[in-house]
Amino acid sequence: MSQTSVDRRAVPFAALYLKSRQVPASLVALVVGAAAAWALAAAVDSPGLSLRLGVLVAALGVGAGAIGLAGSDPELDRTAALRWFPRRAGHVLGIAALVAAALLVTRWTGTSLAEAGVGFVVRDAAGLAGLAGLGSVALGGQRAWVAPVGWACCAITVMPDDQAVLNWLAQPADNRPAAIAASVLFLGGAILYGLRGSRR
Amino acid sequence: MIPRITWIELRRSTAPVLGVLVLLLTGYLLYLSHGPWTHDQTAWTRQWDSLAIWSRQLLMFLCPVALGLGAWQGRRDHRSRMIELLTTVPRPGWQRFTPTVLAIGLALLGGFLLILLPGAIQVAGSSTYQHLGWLPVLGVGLLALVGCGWLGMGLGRLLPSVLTPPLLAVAGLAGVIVAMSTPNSGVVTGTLASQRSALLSPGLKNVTDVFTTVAARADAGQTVWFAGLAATGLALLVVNRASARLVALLPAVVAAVVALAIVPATLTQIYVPDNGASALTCASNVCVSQVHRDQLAALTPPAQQALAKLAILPNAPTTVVEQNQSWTVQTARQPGVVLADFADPEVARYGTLRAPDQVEFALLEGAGTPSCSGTHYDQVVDQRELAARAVAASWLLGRFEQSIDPYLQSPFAQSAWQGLTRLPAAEQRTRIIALRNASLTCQGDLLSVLTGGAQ
Repeated sequence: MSQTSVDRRAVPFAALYLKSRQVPASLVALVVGAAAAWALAAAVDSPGLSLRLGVLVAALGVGAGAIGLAGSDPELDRTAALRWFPRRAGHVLGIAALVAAALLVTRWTGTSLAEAGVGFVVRDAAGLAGLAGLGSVALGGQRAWVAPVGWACCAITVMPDDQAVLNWLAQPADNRPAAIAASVLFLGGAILYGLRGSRR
Repeated sequence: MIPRITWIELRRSTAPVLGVLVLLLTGYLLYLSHGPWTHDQTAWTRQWDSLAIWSRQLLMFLCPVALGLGAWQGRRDHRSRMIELLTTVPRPGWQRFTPTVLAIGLALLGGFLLILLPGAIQVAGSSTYQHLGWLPVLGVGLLALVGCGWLGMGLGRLLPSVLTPPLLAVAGLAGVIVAMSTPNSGVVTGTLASQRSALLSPGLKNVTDVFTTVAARADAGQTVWFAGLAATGLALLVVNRASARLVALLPAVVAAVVALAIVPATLTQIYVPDNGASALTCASNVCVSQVHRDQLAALTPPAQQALAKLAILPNAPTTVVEQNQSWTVQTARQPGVVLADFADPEVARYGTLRAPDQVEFALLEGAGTPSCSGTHYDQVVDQRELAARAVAASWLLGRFEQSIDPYLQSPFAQSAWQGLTRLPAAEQRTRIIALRNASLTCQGDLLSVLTGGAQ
């Protein structure tokens, strides 16, 4: 009896968790946004533009995913006797993975939004997802997007290219300081959000 | 009542977050990093026009953020589930939104102006070209920032989804990127539409000289566009019916059409000469622009020494005049004038003249003629020209010298100098005159002229 009730709860939990974190809506936004950027890159054949569009899609995907870095009722969440750390940290990891996947899929088409390489896409997606986690801890779940989107806005438009640590988003795939900066942001975001959750 | 609630909103709404974010993002770029902009005489802390035009670049990322956070603010009623309650209040919608609109506008303006204030104080204290022609350029920027914040609020109320703020911010960024990219994309290069549509983004071109400003028509067109965005945002905040919402979108559409009709089509029509900046102030036979008026006393002694040394040549120049046009403009090469270019690192640094003997050497280079190329310092053609120009100056000075700037030193100079000084005195003079004439018309290889075709 108790065994079956656990089983019956185990499957809906993941679905309910994803639903409460607005993951379906975020996914739609990511796919539609990536498709729009892909169409634009295909229409205007410019390497500089497609590189920026790649970063833009990463910002869009992470920004859309970031709204789910808090449940609809954080106070109620806190009362649940669940191991939150793996769930929350896994959520940050999941955002990074989905965004990177959305960009990498375009490598099999005629117009790639991941021309700068797999390392570039994974680094940017992971770093931005970490920023979203940090944003959720600092600003609250629904405003978490401000950190990754704001940083991407800065990086794509005016931030100087020669400052590898600050402008890790735009560095070549093999740039070590940029990779370290993105790793620190990802780990910091995943761990802090995992431990603390979103701001109340 | 409105001032009191505005004060509350300034503290309790998104306004403080926006203001602090503007301060942090721009403050970091302006003060702690070297930013995308220049730090020589075109730095944003040195001239009013530079301050205004560089500040507009910050808006390329501030406007998307303002859009997103404005949308966050705009969906507040929906978030707190009080729309139904508010419809029971018998008061017009604008009364409720005015304090919030004011608070968001004030926070954006305050943050942006506060960050520019230290630069403005420096310009006010140091620039010799005090004028008000830069105010429209800055004003358009302020309107763009506030307009984007208000448009975000309106769209946030129209589409109160939790996804609206991030998606709107990214959409704004996409708009800026597309506007930035099209002129260089290779598809629409040089077409009239691309330069016009680039002005729909709040950003402007980099500042590359101190004698250029933005055309009034460009300012006017951008004012119409951003005012239209702001109007649509405000309209979306107060209307309720679906048909009225459609009407509320009209100002933005009309403004885009009008703006594209008003703004100039080409770069040279958008970025025009600033006649106030380039106006010359002269003392006897030495002239400087308004921008460098304080350098006139320092320029006069080396300039007159250089003119005295050049006087031994036939048809010698009689005046030293500052090169007071944008380097993008082709200037006529006049034999009677020696040009002093304050953008030349040999002449000046940060708009201040170098030591008198260095200035004199720079003026004497090429026997008082402007360089013919001088943009690709690593190429042999330019190195040969640099050598010829340095040897001509050395001959007039009576001792071998090269530029103090390592990038402007040539490996050919030493041997050319030795070759020239081995010749009879009359032949040396003939060669220098030939070099001067060749350099005035930019004909042939100057070093060959100097060495008699030996190299």
